[in-house]
Amino acid sequence: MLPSIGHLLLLLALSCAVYQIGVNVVAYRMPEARRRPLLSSGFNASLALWWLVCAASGLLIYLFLTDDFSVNYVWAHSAKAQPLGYKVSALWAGQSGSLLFWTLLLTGYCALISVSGKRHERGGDPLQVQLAPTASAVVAGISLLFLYLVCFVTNPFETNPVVAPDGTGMNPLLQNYWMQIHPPTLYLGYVGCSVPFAWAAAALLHRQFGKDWVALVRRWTLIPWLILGMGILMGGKWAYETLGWGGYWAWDPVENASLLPWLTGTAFLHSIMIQGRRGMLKNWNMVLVSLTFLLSIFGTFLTRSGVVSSVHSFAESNIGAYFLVFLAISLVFSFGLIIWRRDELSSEFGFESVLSREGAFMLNNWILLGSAFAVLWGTIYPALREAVDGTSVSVGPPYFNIVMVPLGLMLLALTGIGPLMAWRRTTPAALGRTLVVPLCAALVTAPLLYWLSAWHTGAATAFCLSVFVLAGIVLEFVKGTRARVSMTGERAPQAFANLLLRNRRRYGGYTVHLGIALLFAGFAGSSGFNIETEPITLKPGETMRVGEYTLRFEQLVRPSPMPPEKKDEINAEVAVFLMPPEKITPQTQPMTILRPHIDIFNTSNAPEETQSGDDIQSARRPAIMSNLANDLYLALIEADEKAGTASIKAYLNPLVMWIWISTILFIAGTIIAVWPDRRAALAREHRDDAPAKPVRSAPPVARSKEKTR
Amino acid sequence: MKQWIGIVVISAAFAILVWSGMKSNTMRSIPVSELRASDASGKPFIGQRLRVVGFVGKEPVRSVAEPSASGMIKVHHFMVEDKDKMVAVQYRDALPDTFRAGGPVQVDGVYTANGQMQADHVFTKCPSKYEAESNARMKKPENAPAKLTS
Repeated sequence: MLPSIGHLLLLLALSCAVYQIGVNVVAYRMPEARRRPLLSSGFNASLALWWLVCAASGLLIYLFLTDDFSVNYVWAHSAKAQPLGYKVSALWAGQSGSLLFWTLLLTGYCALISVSGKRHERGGDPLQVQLAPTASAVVAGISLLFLYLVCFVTNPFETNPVVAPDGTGMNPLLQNYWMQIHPPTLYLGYVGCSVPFAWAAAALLHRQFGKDWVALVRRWTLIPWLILGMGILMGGKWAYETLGWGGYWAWDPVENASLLPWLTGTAFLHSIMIQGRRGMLKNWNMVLVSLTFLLSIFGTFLTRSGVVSSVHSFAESNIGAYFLVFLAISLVFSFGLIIWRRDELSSEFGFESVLSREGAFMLNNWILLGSAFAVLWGTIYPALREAVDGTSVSVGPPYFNIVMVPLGLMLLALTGIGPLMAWRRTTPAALGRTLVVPLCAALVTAPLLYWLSAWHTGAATAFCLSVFVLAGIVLEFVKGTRARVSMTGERAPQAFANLLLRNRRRYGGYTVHLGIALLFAGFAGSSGFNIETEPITLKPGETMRVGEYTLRFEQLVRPSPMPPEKKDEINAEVAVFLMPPEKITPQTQPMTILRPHIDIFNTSNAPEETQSGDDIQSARRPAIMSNLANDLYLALIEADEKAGTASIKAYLNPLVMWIWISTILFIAGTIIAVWPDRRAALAREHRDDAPAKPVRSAPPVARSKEKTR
Repeated sequence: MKQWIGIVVISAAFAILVWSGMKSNTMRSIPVSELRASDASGKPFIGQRLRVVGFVGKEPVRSVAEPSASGMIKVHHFMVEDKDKMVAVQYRDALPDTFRAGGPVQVDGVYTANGQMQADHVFTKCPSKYEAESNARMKKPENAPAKLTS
């Protein structure tokens, strides 16, 4: 009964989405005076759509919580003994549930856009009022694909022919707190790529490409962009903390698929500034925002169709073709709209000089787009090659490292140079004067690095460039604060705070750039100077070395009591010393005791005596001693209880913590940049109070093209 | 005009970067059965870096202790099978958690003259469950009451 209700809710949601789109299409074609009732109905349909999908998702969670194993999806991803948190997160643990979760987020964005439009009806942003119904209809259009899939192709409420006494349960390797945080965050960001696209499509349909639209789309891009970035970093942290291979990124197709829209989204966030400031690159921005959305769909096609081979077991499934067809439709829709409005998308001004902020941003765009292409090419090349000549090939991480390291370094250099350049044009002399301090700071870093550690050209370049970016930004903060102090007589801390508050977009951006510098320094440290041992077999009391550390294996131990979700757990106690082994005496106290362990889980609910080896799953859980300088990372590879020996693999990964700290700067910078500016709102109110300035289907933007030199 | 020259130069540099990266880091991915079949036609893959794809053999992994510069290590010996053909693999690092007899496996390394894979990476699958619908379909569970659902 309940599964049928769930399916019915999804069918109703599908009908509601069709109605929402239909009403908004009719309203778009009607004279403005007669639109209101239709738009109001469309608004209600957006909310109803979301509530219906919420109800269906809630029902599926209820089925998980009540252990209703008549439902195939519940049986396949849950079990009676599964902890409550994992029963809830089982919603996104499999194909059909994750598609339902995707639909939930997408329809949530649809409702949010509608509500934002409604909220602005009373004295808010008239552009948002005008565009919101169309934008929400675009998002509802995208949700049609997912609703169709969960209704007719991979129904999460499908029942089993027989009811099992218990479910198979979520794979024990997924039973980790990151399972409750990482996938929803990543989905929220990934699905959010549809939102700026929807605002762009609405702008194209309503011919609104002015500064207000730029401010609007920027706000609606920054949040999904931040969430997607956080989701990507969280995935890295999950892999690093739990998988025991000492790394956080493997250039796997599933990871690459999440990176692609983030790269083009970053390019869009930069080039949209040029449109806002100088009315340029309108065409290009529409292309970038469309690409970001299309890549999110293409990434889903790649990872769900089985076209590419991945360590994540996204095996072949029958939904790939639907994504491919939808991708083709979206491609025609988005680029058709851009071509249709090409005359109105012409730039108001041309480039005056390559040595300008516009020039730097354009180069940044090309590099980001090139990076996205390089990642995409490396990911799909094996599939393309097999389709063309039948040869099966594999493209490994070294390809991505060779291509992405120089591109990343160029981007980092531009992160430092771009914000210091003036709009329109900068003379080489003026640029030289601005860059002299950051350059000197970077040049001082190089010999310092050589003195401090072994030389690694790529990593050293990244460090120097990170210092270059850091110095440039600090200088900007210092200059701005000083100027405020001398102009207003404020104290320095107050002047600094006001500086951030008065120009949030600029200083929020600088804070994000600080995060980028830290992120690259973390990448450089952890990939250029990491040390990794072979798995060494040790008897109790024997030692091994990694970097300056000596590790002494003490004993194998079991926790008491054993955690209920585990069949077994074997810990290796390892004493850590920061000295050579010959200096360690029996009285020497270790810095710490690390306990890498192996978890052993039952993957079957069958009685223990009937279980086979296939029903037992082991998982290595590393132990990490982390500080700002480096991570000492130990993995217990094998434990031989009979002989009392442990096979331990050690890694020394410098500066990994910097990568995680950069997340804080990303969040802080984005919040500063996106925080509503009361002065801008007041200015808008004043402007709206002025007579005769209605925002409606505007005439094509007057082209006042300046002559380019 | 200057802009176009810039774009062409940047694009050319980028194309060279991608091409050179591809050239030196693409390796042939081949099922065990095809690798063995190729042995009959002059062993064209000897000495090459390859990704060999198949299933872990039924025989237990043989781990042999060997001294290395940093201590005693274990060298693992196992078979990878596919369509009744098999290839021996030698691997000095940690086998993945999900490595088990009969499970799918990918082995990266060099195919040596004695017909062995000298592996430097062994991959199995991560546990995400976005598998084909047909694979996830429930078979009648043992001990399950034969009760039809509503």
